[in-house]
Amino acid sequence: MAENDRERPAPVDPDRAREHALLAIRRDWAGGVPGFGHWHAVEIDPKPLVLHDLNGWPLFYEFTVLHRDKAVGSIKTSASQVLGSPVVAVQMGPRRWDPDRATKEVVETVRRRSPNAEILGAELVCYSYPKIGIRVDLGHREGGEEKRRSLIFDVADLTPVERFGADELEGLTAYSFYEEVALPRAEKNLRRWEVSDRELEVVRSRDREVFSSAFVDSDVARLRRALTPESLYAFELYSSRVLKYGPRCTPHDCFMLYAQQTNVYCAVATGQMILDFYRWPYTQDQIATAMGTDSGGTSNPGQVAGYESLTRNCMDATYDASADWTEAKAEIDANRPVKSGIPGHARACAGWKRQNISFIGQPAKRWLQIYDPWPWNADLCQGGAVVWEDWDAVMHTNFIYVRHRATSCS
Amino acid sequence: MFIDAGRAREVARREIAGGPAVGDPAFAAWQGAEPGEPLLVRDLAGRPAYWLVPVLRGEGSIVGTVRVLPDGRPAAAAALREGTAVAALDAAEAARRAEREIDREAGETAGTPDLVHDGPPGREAWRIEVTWRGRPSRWLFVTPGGIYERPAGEARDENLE
Repeated sequence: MAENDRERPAPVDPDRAREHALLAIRRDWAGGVPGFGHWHAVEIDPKPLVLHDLNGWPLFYEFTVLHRDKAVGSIKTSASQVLGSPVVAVQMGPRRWDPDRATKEVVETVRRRSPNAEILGAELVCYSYPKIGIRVDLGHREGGEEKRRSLIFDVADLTPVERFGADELEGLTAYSFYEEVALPRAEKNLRRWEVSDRELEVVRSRDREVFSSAFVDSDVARLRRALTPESLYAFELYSSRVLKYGPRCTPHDCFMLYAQQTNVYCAVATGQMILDFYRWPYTQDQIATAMGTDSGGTSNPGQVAGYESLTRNCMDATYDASADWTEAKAEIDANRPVKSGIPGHARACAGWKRQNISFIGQPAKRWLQIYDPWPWNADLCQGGAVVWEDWDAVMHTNFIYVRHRATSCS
Repeated sequence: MFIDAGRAREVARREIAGGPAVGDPAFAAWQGAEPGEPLLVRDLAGRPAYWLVPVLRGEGSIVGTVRVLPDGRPAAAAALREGTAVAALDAAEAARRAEREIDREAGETAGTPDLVHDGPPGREAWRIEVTWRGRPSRWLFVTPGGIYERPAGEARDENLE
């Protein structure tokens, strides 16, 4: 075995790891995540495979998921709290490799290639997440001196791994997950672990049976209730913010929806919403003239010029072709609306929302609150829509930030 | 994989009950609302693009829509002003409204209305292809707010908004 004199930080007991695995898959089941339809009835083999890091420390416990004694998936859990997330991955379907057979084949290969070396041990390693290999430690005498070396072979095709370091090109390279990924973020990861651990205790306090080995269909209603996120958490599931008027004392939500008055006035109506917010009231025809709108619509340079001229240069409009959710959030946090562009359409953004906790295998969701001037209507007080839009489900092309000019108006 | 209408409706039901719009005063009318019959929205080339599920109040008025992507992901929840939902029009009503724009005496004929997104997803309208002398000549887009048109086959310029 590889030596590592340092003590593994914040180790996780395999039984605790198994509880986290159970909670993760049952929460995904209760949340209706596709593929987890029958996972309330699965069992988790209590004896995990231990996958080591290149530095020798146990890195993951990989539990086999069983349904009627047949492997239907596997769950990779963290062997140390410094990894941050108790459950790293849930894989559907049986494992495509056999650990015992792969180890045996690798040992035989090494024995053939290095007949004079003594095989000191072999273990499963995660050599380049998520790739798994078998590391064989060898010892031999050279000039009267005992020397040691290790060889790593990928479990899937038994290819030797010959490149080392996270800064190598992607491919068949190896690096220590602890050293490169987990330890540099240890403090933050330990806090994340603590939140997950607290969450597990909240569930246990509500219904101890949630951690029973498997459930029959008649238990389903009770189990789903205990796992429904709304009832689970002592902390907020979502964070959000929308534009406010008078944000200092007793603020109220403050943004007004206007429909675009023609089918090509989306940027114009968006401009009207944003300009009204800053108390620069204009008709849509006035804004269209200032923005140079024609029968096809409005260009982005036209919109920028329009915002500035209509506010007598008291507002500064900035075009950003690399729209990013965090930029929109920053504007809303500063209580400023943003023009949000998608291909061929302009809308105003007046809020954001994000999931603080996500289901395993799914990134946390993020939304923007969009004041969409579509459907168009000649009566601007009809038409339009307030939309909570999934950021990742839409192609974003640009933002225009409209801000008070730091210098005096010209 | 493109989910079926039943699944889209279930996704919308979950979105109404527990989606990001819950608690937003602009969505107050969604309390106790139910998903209606999903409408398939196509792109301008006629390919299925996503489901648009109307959100109905008790008496059947449409107070919003949920856009559900082919893989079942809810992409957007929209609160609409009463009477402004494109989903409130059906194909027959869209055809009826378009009728006054069609010059049948000059030989124009109208195709079947298709619910499309004209531009990015979200800009829904009923499109009717008008044919003259055997060739597509105009696209009429019917929305609750009115009708607009373009030469047939012409997409919107994505550089203009």
